[in-house]
Amino acid sequence: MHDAYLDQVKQKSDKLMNYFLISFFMCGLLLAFFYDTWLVGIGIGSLALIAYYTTRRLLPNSDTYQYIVSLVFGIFMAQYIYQMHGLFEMHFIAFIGSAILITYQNWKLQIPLALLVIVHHATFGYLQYIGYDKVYFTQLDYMTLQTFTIHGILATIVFFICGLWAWRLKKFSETQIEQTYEMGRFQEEQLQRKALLQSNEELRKSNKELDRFVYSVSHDLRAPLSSMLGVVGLCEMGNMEPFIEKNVSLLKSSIKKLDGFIMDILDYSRNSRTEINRQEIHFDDLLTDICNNLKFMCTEEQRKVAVRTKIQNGIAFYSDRSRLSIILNNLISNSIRYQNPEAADPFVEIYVEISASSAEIRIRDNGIGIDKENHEKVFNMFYRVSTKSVGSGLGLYIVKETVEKLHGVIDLESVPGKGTAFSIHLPNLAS
Amino acid sequence: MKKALTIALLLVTFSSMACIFWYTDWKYSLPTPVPAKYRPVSTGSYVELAGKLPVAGNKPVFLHFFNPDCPCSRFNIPYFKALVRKYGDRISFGIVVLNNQSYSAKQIQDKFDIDIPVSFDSTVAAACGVYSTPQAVLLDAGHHLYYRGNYNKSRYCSDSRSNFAQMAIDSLFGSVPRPAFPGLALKAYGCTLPVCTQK
Amino acid sequence: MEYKYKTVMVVDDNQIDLYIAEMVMATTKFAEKVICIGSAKEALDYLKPLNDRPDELPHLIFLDINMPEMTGFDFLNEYKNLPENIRKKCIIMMLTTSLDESDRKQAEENVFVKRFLNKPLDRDKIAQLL
Repeated sequence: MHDAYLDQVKQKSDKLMNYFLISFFMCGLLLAFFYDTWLVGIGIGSLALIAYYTTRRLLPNSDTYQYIVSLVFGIFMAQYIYQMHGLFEMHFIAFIGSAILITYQNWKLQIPLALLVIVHHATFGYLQYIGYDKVYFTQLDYMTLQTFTIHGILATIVFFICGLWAWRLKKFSETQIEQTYEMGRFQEEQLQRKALLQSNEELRKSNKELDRFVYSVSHDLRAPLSSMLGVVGLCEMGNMEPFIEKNVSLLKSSIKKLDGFIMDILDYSRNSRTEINRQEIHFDDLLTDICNNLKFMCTEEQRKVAVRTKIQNGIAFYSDRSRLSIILNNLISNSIRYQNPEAADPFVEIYVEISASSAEIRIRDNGIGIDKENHEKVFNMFYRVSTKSVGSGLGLYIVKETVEKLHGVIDLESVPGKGTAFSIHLPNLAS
Repeated sequence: MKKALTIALLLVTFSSMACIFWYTDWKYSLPTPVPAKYRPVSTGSYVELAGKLPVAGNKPVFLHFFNPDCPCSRFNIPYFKALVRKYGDRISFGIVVLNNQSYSAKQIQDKFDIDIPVSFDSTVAAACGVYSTPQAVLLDAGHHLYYRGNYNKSRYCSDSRSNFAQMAIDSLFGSVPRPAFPGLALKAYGCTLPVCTQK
Repeated sequence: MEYKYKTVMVVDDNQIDLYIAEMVMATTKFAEKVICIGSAKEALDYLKPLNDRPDELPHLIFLDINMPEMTGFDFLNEYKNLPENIRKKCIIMMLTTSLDESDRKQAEENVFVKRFLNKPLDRDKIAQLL
């Protein structure tokens, strides 16, 4: 950003220089009228301009040409003094040049000009002093050492002050730029923050709308299903021909499947978008509730599966109850659903160990098991292992998502024909 | 590559400038070429001024040979004015204009801003042995040539230590002994006289 | 077999659900008289004049949540403004398909609601109430 500003300064100053240099050249022509000093007026002037413009053209990226312009001002001064044959007042041109150079905001540009003036004066003054006769430029009265010193000091002071102003101008513009930049950045940050707040607000709003949408849709889908189940229940309460009874039973299982699927979607939606509700978990109550819900799961064809729980209590465990309920519900119902018909005593065992930092939950069954190559895939959305799969394919996907939402980890060990064990590690949200 | 080119170019430019200055100064130091039919007039010769310039009789005469077109002459104006102001009461000053264009006496006097007689007669120059401008000619009270030469060491010089015209006046009045005027004083430099195209 | 309750009211906008409730209660001999009302407003209008005849008030009211115009919770708001006779007599059960936790919480916090049940109403659920 500072470079862009420096570039601007350079361009503006260069433009100014063009005007000044042309004016200087014109002055040279004007002065030539006085004493017919055309060769000097045109020759020196144009050579000076050539020196400046070729340096500027050949080395545009360096600031050498600015030092050349400093020299050029000194040269024009010498030219005018010569053209007027020693008019001492022309020395003021040096001071004019010195002031013009401030525009580049570089104090070092004063140096070539100062050096030219001092060296020129010193050299010719000295030569004059030692009486060197052959030298030209001796049109002026003899310059005493005192005069020379005073002139030198005053000239140096002028150059110094111009250099100082150039430097201060630079420093000032630097702080200005920094402040503007800071201001700009601050404003940008403000705008960003505002935009962020706005998009947050919008997100919140659309999330809320989605919530209501999911709620309405699931409700409107489930209402007729529950009516259907109710009617099916009525049929079952009466006397039915075996043919009708069989059909009603098939109807019932289809309805339950659809209902289960809708509830899975609800679970998934709630998990991904609602906040975690931190509360103390009483595993015994939780598991009792779940088992009560699942009691109605087993049809006559399935055998009752023994549910054994082992909870190591002691330390309070905090987590999200409804999410935990979803996890355990899904896993336990899976164990019941996929029991091994050849096993003598089908069971599902839930083992919970609570520590200050986490809870380790293990759900082990002796069901039909899962093939090793499917261990990763079962957690995928809508993945069903075989044609014997009864569910929607969402169950384990939801379990994994929910575990991860609680910042936990889930692992699977299984041997086909022997059984399956799910291990879940959940952090204790105690603090 | 470009750097080398720039440096070379700058060196050439600056040395050309130095050359110009040197050359011009050298030219300035050259004396005026002596015209072909020049007849030298030695110091002490009598210069007839009657009818050419209205000057008072018994005072020394200082003639300033002036050409408005000559830059050295123009440069010279303030110094001549200073001399007139200093010695105007003791010397009769007069300006002899050597120029092709017709100026009026009034115009010349305005240039100098002093009221002294002006002559346009070029024979005065020949009478005094003057062949360039500016030149100072000092005649003593008897109109004999006392000094004819340059005002200073070189055309545009104003060093007071070599103000020859002044020194000549001073020595005429006896305040200082007559200095031995160096060649620089006597060997005329300045613009050549314009060839008279008017008849 | 004795009926458990003499009079029971079911409030639901769904005709089939009303029919199911009626049939289940009849089969399980849960209630002698089942009053089926199709909207919460109608239910309030039915209850108000029975202030003078508390014997005819239902012992239980099965209340659906999602009904048009006036929901189950709106009914509860109006219910607390009813005269004390009615409020003392009737016990309210929420019967709904809603799985929403906040609905359950809101129902259980209400002092007039005894239980929160999920539809459909069937033999086993009735058995729980006995």
